[in-house]
Parts: sequence; structure tokens; C-alpha cells
Amino acid sequence: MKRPIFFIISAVLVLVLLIAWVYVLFFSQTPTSDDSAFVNFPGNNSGEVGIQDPAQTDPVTDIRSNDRLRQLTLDPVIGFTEVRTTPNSTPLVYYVTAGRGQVFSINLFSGEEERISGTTIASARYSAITPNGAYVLTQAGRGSGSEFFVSPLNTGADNAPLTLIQEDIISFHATVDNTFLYAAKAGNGLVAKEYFPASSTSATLFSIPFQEAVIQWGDSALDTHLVYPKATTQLEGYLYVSQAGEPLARAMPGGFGFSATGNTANVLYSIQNRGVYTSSVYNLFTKEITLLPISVIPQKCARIAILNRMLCAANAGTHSGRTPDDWHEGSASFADTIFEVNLRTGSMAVLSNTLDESGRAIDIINPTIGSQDVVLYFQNKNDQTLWLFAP
Amino acid sequence: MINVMKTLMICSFLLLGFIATPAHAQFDVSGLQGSAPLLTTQPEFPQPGESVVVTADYRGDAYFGATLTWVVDGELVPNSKNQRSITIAATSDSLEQVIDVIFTSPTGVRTIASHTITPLWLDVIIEPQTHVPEFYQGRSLPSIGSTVFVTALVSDIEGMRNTDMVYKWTVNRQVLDEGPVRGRNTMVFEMPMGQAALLLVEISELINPATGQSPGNIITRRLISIPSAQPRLVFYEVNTLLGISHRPIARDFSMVGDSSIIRATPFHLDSFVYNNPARHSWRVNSVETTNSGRGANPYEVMIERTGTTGRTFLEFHVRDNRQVLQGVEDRIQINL
Repeated sequence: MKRPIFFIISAVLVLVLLIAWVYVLFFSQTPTSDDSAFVNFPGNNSGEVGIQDPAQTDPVTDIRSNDRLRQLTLDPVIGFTEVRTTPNSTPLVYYVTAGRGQVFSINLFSGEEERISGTTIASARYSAITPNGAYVLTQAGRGSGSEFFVSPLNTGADNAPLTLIQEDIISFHATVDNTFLYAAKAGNGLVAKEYFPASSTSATLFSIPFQEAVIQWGDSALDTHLVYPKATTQLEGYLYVSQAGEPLARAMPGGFGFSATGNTANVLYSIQNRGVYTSSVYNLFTKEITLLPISVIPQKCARIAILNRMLCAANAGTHSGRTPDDWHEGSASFADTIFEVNLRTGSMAVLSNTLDESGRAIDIINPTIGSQDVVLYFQNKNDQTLWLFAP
Repeated sequence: MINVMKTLMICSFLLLGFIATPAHAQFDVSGLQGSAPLLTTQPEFPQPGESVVVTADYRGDAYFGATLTWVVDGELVPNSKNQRSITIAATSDSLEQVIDVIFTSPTGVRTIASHTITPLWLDVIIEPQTHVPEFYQGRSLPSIGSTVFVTALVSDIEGMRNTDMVYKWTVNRQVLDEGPVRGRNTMVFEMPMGQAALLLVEISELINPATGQSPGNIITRRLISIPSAQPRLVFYEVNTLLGISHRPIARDFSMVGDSSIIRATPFHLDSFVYNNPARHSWRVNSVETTNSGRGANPYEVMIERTGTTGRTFLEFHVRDNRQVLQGVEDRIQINL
């Protein structure tokens, strides 16, 4: 065979193979008819019906290890609390599983896990448990179709009775007095109430003259509660405070992208200031404002018993001009470091770099300190799993 | 206490003036040339703690060469002598703040100009009636043609004030409700065309306390710019048991299992349009699916793996017929 013919045949073969490879890569699996590949299965496209229980996994992982940072569950949770029957009793962590609303307890000493409520609440989304472990309030469904159930725990029954709260609730919280606080729509605004699960009755606390509100609940009905319009970088927010059962009153801080958390003495708040996300502490008594060296999203902070201290999670230098909108949307996520914040001086001390310590990018949400200020519990926003940090 | 101090201070100041220049011990400026001095503030209606520029506006021969002395709540303002304007912080400790300027002419004639600041917070809460996903903890933004709820809340340091005042609302110079209305501290309007809407709310007392007659004075006013957002689409994966994922799908979605449920979530789309979309469709590689929008939730679709490799573009489109800007479309790439 002559050399030019050989080269031509070789080139043609290479070309054919290249075309075949490109076709297989990009076109061979592409459906020609949409119906054959993409099917809207009837009754299965709401996301709320046709529930299938996923493969069960043991939620307890490494409770008894000596690591300061420990993952408590592998399943996503929608609510948790530390339960101690007496001040010196073994701490238990009660948590509620997402989607099913079942309640489990974890013994932090032995690592033993126990299901304490077999009652299934389909489409369970959010939950709060009283610190004595006696009652759980669970939201099922989403939006205007949500229902709110109160259920007793530790009854020994697989199907504990559910009490329905027939109000359009937008926020709820368990108190140290083993009651629930909630805010429900009323007219153009909201009304905040305390719910007594033992008697299934409620009492009004204060009213809020708008509905797009975030409520940072205090520890009890007569504690300090912070209220502000939901944060967005494009609109101003303002802070209102209810103290000791008094009606809401305006407090100084406000601004674009405003959000806050706090206690009876201090409010830690963050705003967008000309494209820079900044955090400050406002003293409710002296009205002084102290700028923090590192910006934090207030929802990533936990109150502790010492009024001048708070534990916060933040990833320094990662906030943008779209914070907190991008974080709410889920397009921004953080690998957090846990800080102890001195609210009086504004100084921040690093307690743990969660990425270094766990090897996981943990975007902390719902941080809650245990009953004796010893353990910090939180969830990872990325997968809703429950963690603890014991400094 | 402040008022007593203020009175004592001004009295002593004036008394010294009388002693020093008894021949000119008079305060009646009616016979003098020029208008009476006036104090103006910028901003006109300050909030507690806000920085306020107070300016003395005076003209005429009567004030030629006069010495200016500034007194706030009975205390001399440091370094303010002969300043035509001073900057102070509006009080956040008391309901009112009294500012006096004492004009002393070269001949010893003294005149006082006084102004009382009543710092108030006027908070305008914007509640756009547009869609964001249920897990989104932030506030949605208005988009053109969407409904916007606004609430005006007036507070002082003692708490929120009663809403029994007269409210006048204006959007882009168009007065809403055809004029001021008593007790109308909430308003609803449709977001106009443009990048933003200018909302002006003006609040007046029912009765002028000085005259006991109506109309009352304007006690506060606020102009704010409300941005108009363009609706946009974000795709999320949905788990039948756990609900919607809180993390959006990036431009590429790698399908791991045999099937997935995808939800297209419009941000800032008018809630009415979201709940009653005139047009909505799912498309696969630009071909409209025949069964989209027939399920319980038109914003969700279940996709099923039919091969081992490949890629496909999945698009969603929702739009209103009456307001074409109330709509959005976008797509993601599905990698098998």
C-alpha cells in the first residue's frame, strides 16, 4: 500500500472515531422525546405525598469519643434540646427527625439512643421540645397549609395524642418554664402568645404590627424578646424590643440587611453598610454601640448565662454585599469557626475551627447552649444534622 | 431639670446683659430692620440619636455684627460661638430637646431664637407580596406590578405612638387614597414601573396644640426608595420525605440516583401570579413537555434516568398574561 493512501485511510478512521466519540458523549443518551425521559408522576410531584421511608441509619455516631466536636446524628433533624431531669442527672439530647416527626433521645455519657415517641407526623418541618422533655410542638407541612401539633413525650405509648393548635403560626419556641411561645397571624400583624401544654391554653403576650417579622424569643415569656422585619439587603430593618411583658418599643439599631440576637442587656446586630457587612453590639442600658472585629450573622450566635458573653459562628472575610440574602437562599455557605464574643469590649476569641477540627465544612445554624453552659449544640445547615461542641 | 437649668442659664445670661448694657435692655425686635431669626434643622424631622445640623437663618441690619451663643437644653454648646450652624445629636434620652441661639448685637441688644426638636422614629415596614421559598428566612422584594403592603410606625423613646394621626401616602408623586386619611398607618399599592418607587409618608397631628384647632402640624415625614427586583428562578432538589433542599442547584445538576424531583422556585414573583400562573411550562432541550403543570405542583417535575451518560437542558417558564414583566424563565443542565 502506498504511503499517502495509508495516511488518508488512517486520517479518515481517526475522524470517524472522533465523530463517534463526540456523538456518544453528547447526544446518544439525550432523549428525543421529553416524555420518555422526564415524567411527572401523578401524585408524586408535590413533594409532600407518596412518602417513602429512606434507608434507616443509626443516628448516633461517636458520642463517647473525647473529641470536642462531635456529630450526634446522621439524619437531618428539625428540633432538639438538652434534657436533664435534675441538675445533676445525665444529660440527654432529645431530637426530632425531619419528615417523620419522631422523637429520639441520646444519652451523652453512654451514647445509648432511644426512640421516645413513635408518633409519626408526616411532612414534619420544624419542632421545639420543652427542656423537661415533656412536650414537643411540631409543624407539619409548609406555608399556609401548615398544621401545628403538641404532643406529650415519655408516655410510653406509640401513638401519643396530638393536640392541634388552630392558629396560623409563623414562629415558635420552647421556654425554660416548659411552655411554648409562638406568634400567629392576626389581622395585618401578629400576636405573640404563651402556650401551656398541660392545659392546652394560651395567653397573649404582645402584638406585632406587621407580619414579615423575625422573633428572637427570650428564654421565658417575661424575658426580653427581639422583633425585626425579615432581613434583606435591599430594605431597611428596625429593632423592636419587648421586655418583661411590656408592649414592643423601638430600640436604636436598624439598617439595611438588619438582623439581630441578644439578651436582656445586649443586642448583637449586623447590617449592610455601603456594601460591607458589619456587626456591632448595642447595649440596651447604656445605648453604646461597639463594633465587632469580625462580622457574624446573628442567627449563628447562641446566648449563654453570662450577659456579656455570646458564642458565635463565623467565617472571617467571607461575607459579601449580598449577605445575608445569599446565605438565606443557600447560594452562600460557610465553613465556620466558633468564637466567644465579649459583648462589652467587642473582642472575639477563637474556640474552634470546625473545618480543621472535623474535616467537614460546617455551616452552623440554630446554635443553642446546654442547660449548664457546658455544651454548645447546633445543626449543620448543609445537611441539617445535629452536632455538639464541648469546649 | 433640664428645663430649669435652661431657664436659669438664659435668665442669668440675659440678666448680665441687662446689667452690662442697661440702655439697650430690650428683646422686642419688631422695630428693628430685618426678619426675625429662624432656626432650621437638617433633617427636618430627626430620629433619636441622629446627627442634626441646626442653622440660624437671619438677615438684616439688626443682626449685623451680632454675637451668636448656642444653648442646647440649657447648656452652652462648646466651640459654637458665632457659628451660623452647629451639629448635634438628637436626644435619645428625653422626648424633647430645646435649642436656643442668643444674638447679642454690638450695641448689646439681645434676641433669642428658639427651636424644639421632638425626635421620632418613623419606621416604614415594606412587606412585598411576592414569592420566596418557605425556608427562606429573609424578606422578598417587590417586582413591577406586584402588590406591596407598607406600615408606618411612629415611636419615641417611650414606645410606639398611637396610630390615631393623619397619614398622607404618596408613591412617585401620586397621592394614594386621594389624600390624607386619619388612622391610615397601613397602605397597599401596586409596584409601579421603573427601577424603584419613591414612597413619601407624611404624618400630622389631629389638632395643633398651640391653637387647639385642626389641622395639626406635620410631626414627621419620610421619603424612601423602594427597589424593584426582577423575578429570578432558582432550582432546588426535593426529597419526598424531607422536603425541599436548602441549597440550590448550580447550573449543572449531576443526577446520582435513578430519579430526582426538581422544583423551580421563582424569587420575587408576585404571589398572585405564583399561585395562579397564566402560563407555565417545563421544557427538555427546548421541547415542551406534554405533562408539565398537570400535577399538584406545577413548579415541580420528576426526572428519570434513561441512560448511563449524557446531558440534558431542563427549562422552566412562568409568566402572567396581564403584566408580562411578571414572569421568569431559566434552565439548568442535567448530567447523567
